[in-house]
Parts: sequence; structure tokens; C-alpha cells
Amino acid sequence: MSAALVKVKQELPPPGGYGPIDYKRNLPRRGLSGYSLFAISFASLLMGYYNLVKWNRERRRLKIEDMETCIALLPLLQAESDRRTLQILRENLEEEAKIMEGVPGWKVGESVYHTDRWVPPIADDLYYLRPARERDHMKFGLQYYI
Amino acid sequence: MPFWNLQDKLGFNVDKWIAYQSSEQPLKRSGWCHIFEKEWIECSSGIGGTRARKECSLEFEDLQECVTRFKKVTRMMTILAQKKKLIKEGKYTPPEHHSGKPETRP
Repeated sequence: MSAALVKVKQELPPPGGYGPIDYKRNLPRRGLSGYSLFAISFASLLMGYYNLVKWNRERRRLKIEDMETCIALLPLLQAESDRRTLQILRENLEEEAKIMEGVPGWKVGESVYHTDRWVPPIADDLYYLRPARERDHMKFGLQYYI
Repeated sequence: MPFWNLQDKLGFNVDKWIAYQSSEQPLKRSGWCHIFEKEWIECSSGIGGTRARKECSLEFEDLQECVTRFKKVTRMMTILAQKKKLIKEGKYTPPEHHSGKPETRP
């Protein structure tokens, strides 16, 4: 009995007890409602579609302009290319005449076809007397893989 | 020539575009040997196989040459072999524009 009355250093609550403790649920109602969130995302979608459609139409106009410039330049480029082809074919014909001079029974510039239509030349036709690099560049120069 | 010709009657095109080169192609892009094939088909249609083999042999040979390019390649090989021989003997030097330098004209 007397041991309980002896002053021992104990951890005791402060005099007057502890203060009030809030233990109730705290789920505040805040933020926009669900309907308004739907409305905001729907509106943002519509704005996005509208911008997309406008920009696509602008892109189409720009692309048509590019195509028109290409079409306008096409005759010039085609004429240059044709001139170059014909020049190379002529040079090849002369080289062939020089090379096959002594060979018996060889007709220079003989066409391999029975028809006398103009057959467009292939890459090998034009570049067979030159280093293979040029022919490969013409055939595969625009590719990234071969 | 086709027997039932369902594709024409019903209006669709399942395999006409791939049956032969000269058929209607998308974007109007013709095949490599369109003209030779067209000539051969026009020459040999309706006259039967035996007659076609006899009468249309020139067109057929042209078509074969266009597709396989055999005669052209043999010709080029002959010329190149002769050129190599002449270079070895020292009788022929290739001209300057064949040496692979980049062209300065358009």
C-alpha cells in the first residue's frame, strides 16, 4: 500500500486531461461535379477536332500547291532527262563501234527486238560500259536498303 | 474468251488485274512489257494454239526478250569481254566520261 504512495517518476497525462481528438470521417466535398468534368472533356475534344480539320484542310491546300509546282516543272525535267538518255545511247553506240571493229559478223547498234518501235532503254543499256557504281547509284540511289 | 465471264457480268474485278500485264492497272501505270504483251495477245487470240505458235512467233519472241532480257544481256557480255581483251592488249582506252567521275552537266 505504501509503495503505491511513494513518488515514482511516471509518465502521466497532463493535468486536466488531453484535449479533444477528432475521430469523425473527413471526406470533404470538393472539386467539380462529374457532369462538369464530362462537359469539359467533351468540349476539349470538339475543339481538338475542329483544329485538326482546319489544319488538315490547310495541309491539303499546301500539298496541292506543291504538286502544282512539280507538274509545272515536269516538262523541263523530262526533256533534260530525255536529252541525256539519247546522248548516252549515242556515245554507247560509238564506243561499241570502236570496240567491236575487228569482230566478224557483228552488226553495230543491232536491236535485239524484231519490231522497230522505240523501246525505252533500261539502266543497264545506258551504263554497261561505265563502272558499276554509276549503274547501282541509278538503280538503288534513292533506297536506304538494297 | 473466258467461258462464263462472271467478273464482267457481275461487275467486279478479282483477278483480272493480275492475270496479265496488259490489263487495266490502278493509277494507269503500265507494266514493263505492256506493249509487247498486248501485241502478242492481239495477234494470237482467237486463232488457236498451233496457229499462234507458228504465226505469232516474232511477237512472242519480242515479249520473251522484254521479260527476260536474255539477248540484250548476252550482247552486252560479248561487248564487255571484247573490251576487256582489248584493254589487256593495250589497243583500247575507255574515254574520259566512262571513268566514273561525276558529271558536270545537267
